[in-house]
Amino acid sequence: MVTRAKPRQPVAALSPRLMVEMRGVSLIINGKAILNAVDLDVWAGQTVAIIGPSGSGKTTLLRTINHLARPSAGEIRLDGERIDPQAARLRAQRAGIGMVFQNFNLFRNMTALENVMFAPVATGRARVAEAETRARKLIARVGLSDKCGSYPSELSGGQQQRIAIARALAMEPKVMLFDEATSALDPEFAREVLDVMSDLSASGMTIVAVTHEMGFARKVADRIVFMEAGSILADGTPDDLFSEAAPLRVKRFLTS
Amino acid sequence: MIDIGSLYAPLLIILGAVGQALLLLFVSGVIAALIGGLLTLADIAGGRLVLIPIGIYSWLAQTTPPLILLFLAFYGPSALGWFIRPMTAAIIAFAFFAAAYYYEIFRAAFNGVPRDQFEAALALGIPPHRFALRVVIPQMARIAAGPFIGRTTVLFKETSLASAISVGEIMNASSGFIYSGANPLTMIALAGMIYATINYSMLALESRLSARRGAAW
Ligand SMILES: Nc1ncnc2c1ncn2[C@@H]1O[C@H](COP(=O)(O)OP(=O)(O)OP(=O)(O)O)[C@@H](O)[C@H]1O
Ligand SMILES: [Mg+2]
Repeated sequence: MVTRAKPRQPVAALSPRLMVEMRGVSLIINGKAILNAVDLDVWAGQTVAIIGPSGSGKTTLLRTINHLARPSAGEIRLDGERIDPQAARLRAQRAGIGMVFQNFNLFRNMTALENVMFAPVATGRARVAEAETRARKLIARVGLSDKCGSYPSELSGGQQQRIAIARALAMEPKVMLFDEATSALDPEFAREVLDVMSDLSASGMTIVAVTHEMGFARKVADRIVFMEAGSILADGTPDDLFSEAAPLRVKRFLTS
Repeated sequence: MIDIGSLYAPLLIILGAVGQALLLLFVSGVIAALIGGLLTLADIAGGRLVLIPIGIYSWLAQTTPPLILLFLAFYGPSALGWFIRPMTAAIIAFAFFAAAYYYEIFRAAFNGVPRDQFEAALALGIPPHRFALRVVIPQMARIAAGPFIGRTTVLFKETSLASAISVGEIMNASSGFIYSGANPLTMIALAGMIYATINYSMLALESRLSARRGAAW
């Protein structure tokens, strides 16, 4: 059984906007299908949690959206525009897709403020002064105003991840992708990051989050996508997937 | 024992010799660092095909004794009827020789830059040259500084070999004094002290600079 979810909180109620559209996306490496003709629609303003066992292709799915992993077949659209593998176009499109990694991936030789300012300036989207003003606001938004001058090595994991979120937001992305953003963190620090993610979700940001945090999937996500062996096995509201009527495989995963 | 007045002329000669040695070190060092940097760039950006010639060059430069390179650079052109000044030959030989070491140092430094940052830069859509200038090169410089200075002090010691093709550097000047009757032990000790002082200054400068950057990154 595959349940298809309708957008729960479309931004424009009359004409919900498709932010991410994946059609028949496959990725084959050495003859093995890591993604198997995946279809996925994410509507503007939705928060979609992707769950599933280890090795099921969750990270790969996320990475095909911005072509960090190039699909072998299929098509991906961002806000109606097809992701174009041609280098210069792809770079511009990637800039509109925020990505947050499990290990933060901050630039080590830059302060928190510089990390957040760098991409807008380097891509020519903002002048330095303007980028700095915006960066300070975003850093305040993730609650780290006092850490602007700190280097990544001087921040806790949770603080680094919040700066990484601010860094992605500085590009004013149309969608934010999170890959196990809290898995590398102790529970107390994970909490801080999950709070920031929940705020973002509530503010109407479109989010696709691979996560092991079932609490987040259940309470914050509008939709949960369950993956196994490179395919989407179930796709529905949290109530659907946490219900007795959910597919057996999903129930077994959720209780394990 | 030592007559102060008679030291004046030799002192000028020694200062000149130190100048020659530093000139040799500086010019060959700068050229070698530039070539090493270009080789690193070719290695990183180029395909597998460029790795083969670079590997052969690096192997040759590191396994051939510098004295042989020096003779080759000096007598090679002369044998073809081309006059080459000893200093020029020495610069070519040492640049050829040191570039391979610098290349290995830069390459290792590149490998030492944590890869996760490359992925973040890609995802943010940052143009590669901006990322290289602002993130990769500063981090490489930090990693390479110690080995680079260390290798440069070795290069400086090796420049003493240039006396063999009569470049008027420190060893050349001291053997000149010894031939004209100066106490060999005094002259050798003096030359040794000059090398030690200059190398010590380079090492001290490096540790001073790296200490000042602090441990923050
Ligand atoms: N570049 C690659 N080359 C070969 N195999 C790969 C590559 N990338 C991913 N895989 C394989 O694809 C499968 C899916 O990997 P992926 O990382 O997407 O899983 P995941 O669902 O994110 O797992 P986890 O929960 O452990 O993070 C795994 O079997 C993995 O070994
Ligand atoms: Mg994963």
